[in-house]
Amino acid sequence: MNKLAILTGTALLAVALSGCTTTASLNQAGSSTVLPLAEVWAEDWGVANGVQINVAGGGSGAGASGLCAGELDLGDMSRAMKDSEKETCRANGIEPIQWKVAFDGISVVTSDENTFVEDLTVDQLAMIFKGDVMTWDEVDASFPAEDVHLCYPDSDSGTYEYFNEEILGDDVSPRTGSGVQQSPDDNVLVTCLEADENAIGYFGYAYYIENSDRLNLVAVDGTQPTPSTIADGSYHPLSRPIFIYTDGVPESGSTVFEYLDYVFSDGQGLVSEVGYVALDAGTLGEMRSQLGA
Amino acid sequence: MSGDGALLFTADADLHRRRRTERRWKAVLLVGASFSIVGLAVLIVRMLADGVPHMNLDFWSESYSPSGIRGRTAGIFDALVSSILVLGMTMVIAVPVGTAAGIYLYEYAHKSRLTDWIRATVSNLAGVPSVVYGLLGLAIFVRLFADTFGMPRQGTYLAAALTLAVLILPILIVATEEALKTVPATVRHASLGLGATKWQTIRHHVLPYALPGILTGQILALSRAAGETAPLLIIGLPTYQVFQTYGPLATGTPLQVRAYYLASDARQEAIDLAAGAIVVLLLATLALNLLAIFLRDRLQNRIRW
Repeated sequence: MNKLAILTGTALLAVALSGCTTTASLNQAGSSTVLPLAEVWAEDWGVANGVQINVAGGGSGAGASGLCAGELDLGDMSRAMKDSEKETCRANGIEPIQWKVAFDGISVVTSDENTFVEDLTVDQLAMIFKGDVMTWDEVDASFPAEDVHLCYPDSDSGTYEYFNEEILGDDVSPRTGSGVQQSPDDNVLVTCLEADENAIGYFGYAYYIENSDRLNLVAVDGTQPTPSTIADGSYHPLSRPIFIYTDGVPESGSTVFEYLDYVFSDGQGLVSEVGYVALDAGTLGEMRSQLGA
Repeated sequence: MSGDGALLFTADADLHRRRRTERRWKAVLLVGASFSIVGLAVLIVRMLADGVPHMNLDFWSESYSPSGIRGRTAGIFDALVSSILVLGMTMVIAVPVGTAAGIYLYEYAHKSRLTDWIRATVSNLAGVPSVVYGLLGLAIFVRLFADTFGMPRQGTYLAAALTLAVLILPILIVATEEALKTVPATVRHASLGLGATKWQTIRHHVLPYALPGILTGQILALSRAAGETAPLLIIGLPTYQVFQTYGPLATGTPLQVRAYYLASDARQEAIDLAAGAIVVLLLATLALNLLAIFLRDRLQNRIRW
């Protein structure tokens, strides 16, 4: 019986080894926000040009550490790299270069059963997420006297860090504990929000688009996130660029150069397909001149 | 006489009380048992209801395609092949080592403080959370192997298989030892008494009888490995690659990892695909467990002491 197992195993290995191929390849990993976009680009460009691209998730932090350890050619991030991360990079002889590849509008959402919240100011959002107010009527006297429940992303996520920085301020943590659910999985947040009319939360625009029949969008300072308000920055402060980082500006003709050249041309046409917003002409021109294309 | 009667009477009252306690405990235990059975049934029915409608021909024959998800031409073919490859390699690595360790510990090793310590370690390892094995795999099979043997500095099939192999070793060792325990000592004594060496005894008289148990253990270990996701996520297998590659040093996305990432995707089509993938994982694990039970019964009935 063991003999049989070893035989099958050897056969499997032999088949496996014969399947090995070597092509130009890129390793890409990082933010789960960037992941769906990275996958679509990899497929569209990689198949056409015969380039193998391994795409993985792991979070913005993993994108930075992977690039800085020399393990990745492309580090996906949904927030800018921190100074401490840049230092690690440089200590390893890697010069992190930031590329804006698309825009996302972090969307503040409630259940579609919530009939009272339509528009909140940044200050109100800060009070709600810091835990300065615990019931809705403290936010606005016209709201019901019900407990505020929060559903927001896990602390590993770039979305979480961006929201806290823009809304709560530097080094302020949101309320945790009872009435709060945190999850690395945005679908869990959708479930958390949809059934509870007293819950409020946030995640990437793409998740709102896919679940717009079950969720209500909350305007921030009077502006709703739409492709145009996200792209022109009027959905402020929650409209944010999403990034790919590389080691230095790639040499013309290198695989990374060709990839970015695609991202800043035809690639932009696929951005809306995954629920993000393509770069505006100004930013696109900026990126193309940074690339030297 | 009267003394006896009094005794009988109290015994009778006591019997009523004891029977009442008996009924109560039976009810408590029954509730406990039904919880797990009803829970499992609800889980299976819900998964089947969510997943089966999406399991069409494309689901089996197509590979994952990020843009193809929209056109419903994305399937689990590549992930299924990846899973089979990883599990095959895992078993090739783990089965010889685990079985040998079990045989050595039970048949050869003298009872000493060292073997006691090894046994305790093995049982403790069986209870270590699988994430810890993932971290071990990342540190040793990915990073250390990359630095010392120049292997690719990323989660490869080999790294995944080695990690899962270490994870199921305790199961294999314990199962082998338990199977050897069921073979009566008299069989060994008779063989040794006729002049057979220890290895001849083990090879021809102990192992054939222990085989059903060992085999069951191997299948259960395989089913455990098939269900593990966390260690594979930690060692960093990709979620998507442009061209599927299959080989020890190649990398890819086994079904568990694919299901995990699909389930957290925003697109409904991806979530549907995840539901199908989860049904496949569930059925594979159930099938392996049933096979283990079937084999154990079949082979054990054939043994005539």
